[in-house]
Order: sequence, then C-alpha cells, then structure tokens
Amino acid sequence: MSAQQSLWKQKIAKLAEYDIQHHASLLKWTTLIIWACSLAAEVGTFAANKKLPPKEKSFIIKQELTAGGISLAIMYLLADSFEEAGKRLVDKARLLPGELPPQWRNPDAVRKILKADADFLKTALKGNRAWIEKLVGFRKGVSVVAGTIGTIIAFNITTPLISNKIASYFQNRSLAQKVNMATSSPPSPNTPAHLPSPAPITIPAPVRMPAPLQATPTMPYYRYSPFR
Amino acid sequence: MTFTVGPRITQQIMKTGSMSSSVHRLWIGSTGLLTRPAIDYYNGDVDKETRKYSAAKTAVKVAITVFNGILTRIVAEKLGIWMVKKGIIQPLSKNLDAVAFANGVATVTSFLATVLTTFTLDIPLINSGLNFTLDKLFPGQRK
Repeated sequence: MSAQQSLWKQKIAKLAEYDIQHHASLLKWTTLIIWACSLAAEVGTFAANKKLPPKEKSFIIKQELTAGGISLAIMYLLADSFEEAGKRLVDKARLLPGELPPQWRNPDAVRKILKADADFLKTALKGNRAWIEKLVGFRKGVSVVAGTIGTIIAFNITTPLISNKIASYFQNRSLAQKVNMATSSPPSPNTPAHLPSPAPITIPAPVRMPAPLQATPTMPYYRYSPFR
Repeated sequence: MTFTVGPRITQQIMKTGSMSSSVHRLWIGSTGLLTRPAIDYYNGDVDKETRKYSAAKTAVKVAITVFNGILTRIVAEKLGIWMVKKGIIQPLSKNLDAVAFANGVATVTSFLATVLTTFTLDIPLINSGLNFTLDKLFPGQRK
C-alpha cells in the first residue's frame, strides 16, 4: 500500500491485482499483444529493408498485415470463447469438484457460493469460507485450462492453415498479374501486324508453385511471418 | 448432468489457475513444434520440395521463438518476484495474498520483457538461425 510508488510501478501493481482475479484473461491479452508486436516487428523489418523494390515491399507488407490481422481476430475469438465456455461449465454446474456435497451441485447453489452470498454463507456453509475459495479457484483453473486450449488451437492449427491459404492466394494473384503484364505488353516491331495479340492468361487456383520460384528473392518472405 | 472430478484433479486444476506465463508459452510452443511443421509439410497448395523446405523452416523458427520466449519469461518472472520481495513494487489494495500478488507481478514483468525482446532479439535471432540451419539442411538451394 504505497502512495509513493512511481506511476509505472503503480501500473504494474494494478495489472498484477487484475491478474489475481482474471489470470486467464490477462494471459489471453498478453499473448495477443505479443503477437501484434511480433507482426509489427516483422512488417517494420520489411519496411526498413532497402534491398526490396518498392512494389514488392508494398505487396509483402499487405500480405503480412492481412494474414496477421485475420489470425489475430481468429485467435481472440477462439481463446475468448474457450475461456468463457470454461467458466460457463462451472457456472451451470456441468463440471464441479467431486468433493462438493450433492445438494450444492446445481447452478443456483454454485452461483451463491461463487458470489459468497451472505445468507448462503450463514445458513448452508455455516460461516465456512473454504468452499467459496475452493470453487472460485476451481472456476479460475478451468477458465485458464480452457483458454489455453483455445489459444493452442488458434495458434498452432487454425492460424498456420489460414496463413498457408492466404499466402497461396497472394502468390497466385501476383503470378497471374505478372503473366498478364507479360502477355499484354506492346508487340515487338518484328511481330507481323496481321497476327492477333494473345489473350491474357488466367491461372486457375490452386497453382502448384514450381520449386525455383520459391528461391527468388521476392517470394519467400511470407515464410518469415510471426504467424507461421 | 454434472461431471465431477476427483480431489487430485481438482488440486491440479486449481494450481493451473495460477499457471505462469512461461509454462503457458511452453504448452503453446511444444504443441506448435508438433503441429505447425506438420501442417506445412502437408500443405497441398505447394509442391513437395517447397513443402519440405517450408516445414523445416517453420520447425526452426518455432524452436527459436519458443526457446527465446520461455527463457525471457523465466528470467523476467524471477525479476518480478524479486522486485516484490524487495518492496520495489507494492500492492495497491489491502489484504492481498502476497504470493498471488508476486505471481501477478511476475506475469506482468514477463509480458513487458517479451515485448522488448520481440523487437530487439527475435527478428535477428530468427534470421540468423534460419540462415544457418537451412543452409545446412538444404545446401545450395537458397539464394
């Protein structure tokens, strides 16, 4: 309890106190912010890279931001919904500690225990707060486990799958644009005038990328994404 | 219908409620080491050679970020707990559990340290780690 603490120490203490009550939520938000920072660092690296031509740079940055934005949104949705589902399991008395007496294994009694209802504490619990601490701790634990599972699914399964799809979409689009530009360029003076100009080529998706294309300086950058 | 869990699992679940940031990262990282390279390896949108290359690249990158992330968090958590013990950071509210507060500070300091290392260490480490490992694994295939 110190009023003399500097502002940054007060902020850390405030966040730490929030963490005591909402650990799952803080873990979720810190993971999301670290991801966003990772994305910013990655994009910043590309933006500062002088070897990249401006057109390629803009393409890579757009690609990174799109994949990153979608991944962040999905991660938030999954982690948050899993965390809430975990809390609901306890609130609705679907998952409880086996030690809890059978007469309290219903949503109403669970709500009263979790809220430390004064009447319930006096009559049913006979002033013993041990059940309150146990159930509050159990609910917190279930929400952390569920939130972590949600984060793992988002981080390690959904995001890489989506990143691959987005990278492949961007690459196919870039390849199609390059081919179209090459075919729609003005005819050379040696080309006979009576021959029709070739129609633009469209690339059907998905395109199997030839291996040498991956080794060109402009293509592999999406592989460095923090979301991969 | 109510599912109940035994006393040992109840204790474990309650303990998980104060899971440290480094353990959280360890869970995400260790599962990521298994799934993320596998997803790249079975990516149907690219040819077999690219898939191999991409899976190796992802594995190296995940390993570096996990190692770096966990190490940073462990050090920062210890620093946070030390700061509480020395009274450098004190609770704002009365009657707080000292251990829970110290763990809370540890979570916050590990977060701040990870943000810092993300900008300063992660990118150079990933780049040099990738260059070194992939040159060994795929000699002559990289420019």
